[in-house]
Amino acid sequence: MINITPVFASTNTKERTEENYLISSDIKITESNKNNILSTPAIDEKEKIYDFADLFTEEEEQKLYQKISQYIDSYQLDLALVTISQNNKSSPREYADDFYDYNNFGFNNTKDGLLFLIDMDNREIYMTTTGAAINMYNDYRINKALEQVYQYMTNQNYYQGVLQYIQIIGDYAKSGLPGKQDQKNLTTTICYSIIISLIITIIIMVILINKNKLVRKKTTAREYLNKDSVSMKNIGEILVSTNTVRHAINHSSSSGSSTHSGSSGRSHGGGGHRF
Amino acid sequence: MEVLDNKCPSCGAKITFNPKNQKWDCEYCGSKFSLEEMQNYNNASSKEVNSKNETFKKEKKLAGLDIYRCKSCGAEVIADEATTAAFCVYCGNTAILKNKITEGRMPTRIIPFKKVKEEAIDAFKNISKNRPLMPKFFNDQKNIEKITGVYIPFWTFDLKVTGNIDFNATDIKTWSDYNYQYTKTDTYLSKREASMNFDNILVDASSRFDDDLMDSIEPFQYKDLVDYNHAYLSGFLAEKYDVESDIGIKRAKTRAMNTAVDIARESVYHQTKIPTSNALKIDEIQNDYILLPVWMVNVKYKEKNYTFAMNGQTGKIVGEIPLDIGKTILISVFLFIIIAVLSFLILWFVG
Repeated sequence: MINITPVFASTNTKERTEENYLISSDIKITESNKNNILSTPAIDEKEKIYDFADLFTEEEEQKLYQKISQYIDSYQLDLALVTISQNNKSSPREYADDFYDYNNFGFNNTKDGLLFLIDMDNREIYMTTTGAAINMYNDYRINKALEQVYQYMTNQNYYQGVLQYIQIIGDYAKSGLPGKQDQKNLTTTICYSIIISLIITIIIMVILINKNKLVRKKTTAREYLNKDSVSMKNIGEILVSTNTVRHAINHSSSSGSSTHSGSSGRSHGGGGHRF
Repeated sequence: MEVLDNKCPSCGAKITFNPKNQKWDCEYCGSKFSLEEMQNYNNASSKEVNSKNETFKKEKKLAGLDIYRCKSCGAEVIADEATTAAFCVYCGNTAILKNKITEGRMPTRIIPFKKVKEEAIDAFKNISKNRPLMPKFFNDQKNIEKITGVYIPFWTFDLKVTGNIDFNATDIKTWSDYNYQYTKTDTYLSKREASMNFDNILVDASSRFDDDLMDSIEPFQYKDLVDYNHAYLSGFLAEKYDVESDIGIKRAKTRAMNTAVDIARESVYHQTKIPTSNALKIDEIQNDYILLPVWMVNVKYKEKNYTFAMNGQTGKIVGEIPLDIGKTILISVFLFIIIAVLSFLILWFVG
């Protein structure tokens, strides 16, 4: 029987050659990124799901495609999902950035969008953000999102993990840019004013009430000390014990979006989490 | 000790001590006398009497003083014949009994009043400045009239603290490299041998006064202490001590101990130091009975008595000031509304 390959089989790659790099015209080809381009699979960027590691069933891929389409339509950010079993590049970050850049993902001139990579070789999930997505997903949001889904990968529940991931990034996009989601709202402003006023009033009243306290018990007698009579001898200083404990430092990043440049020269945000 | 009659050496009328010039002023003939002049006059007039009879002199120490006992609260105050107590300074009751004083330990030293009544009145009136929550009871002339100068009895104790004290001391150092944060805790046993003296720790010898109130009225400048003389009492009231020195010393010892521990603690150069075994002991070297000047007034507010006192030497004011509940609520609500409206405007239009 002839196997009709659906859109979602997604491992169809075209061949890149030095004659035809199959890349977007705005990327300059140099000696240093030539190999990066050639080692990046050329795919059809409309498929959105590239399951090279074969982690999803066809049915799952269909459902994921629906979710991804919804996301793209709602927030005008491109979204690609890539799984690999072999990483021929130095890091998940490099793979994700190259895959995004050399396959012409992203909307507008700024190539707005993001890519989620499941790297089975390095056992790491990585998301790279480009253009408007860099601002939308700051380091905090990226870490939060990855933290919430990496466990699914650990438990080999890839489909649920990706569903969850799309849900989370959708929720973030819905709430707007970080720090701007607190829209001016009459009731919350009134609540804040009442709380501020309550605190300031209590502070002022405590100060005023304390002004009425002129009686304070004396518990020391320093003013009666005959300073010339003081003799204080050190008759023993023994080190009883010493101990050192150490705590692992959690390297959490700041609230901003940190960016780096991929081999293409484009700027990306992103972050990864091992699973 | 020389005991003075409070009679004017020039006209023989009753004469009172004036804190302003630290002299005795005669209201009748306008003469002013220093302590020395009073003593000279006194020596001359009583020399022959004293030499005749020793026991008479002893009686004379307390002669010329009246003791007033309050029927309502039991307070006892002493006044010389020139001064009459018309009401109890502690509870304001006018039912007080007058008697000749008969017995008691004599104070050895006294700080005479330095502040006159007018200064005390001004000071009490000024308490309500910057205190919006205070009832305005010093606007009431009735309260102002009750301001009375009283010599309050105090014990002073000279104490010596000696012995050993141990501290459990710790130093905590933290540092970190890329992967770990390290916390190093060093614990030491620090032993100290201490010795120090305290001179003239003041303890209120009157049970009428709240001890904390009398603590707060400190400090008095001891440089003004002079030998006690009845003549300083003229124009003022004086209270008899009713807390024995062996009771009063406990308070002095507690204060001395706290200070000694503090000083020992300061000599331990570690971050935290907790005394573990305290073998410090306190010995009494001597005690003294002195009188100190206090302007005081009792104010009744909502059926409760509030005592205000001014240090008659330095002018420092102490007292438990009640809250005017009405004003407190009014001011709180006013503040709350003003600040709430302001912060709303700022948040809405600026933030």
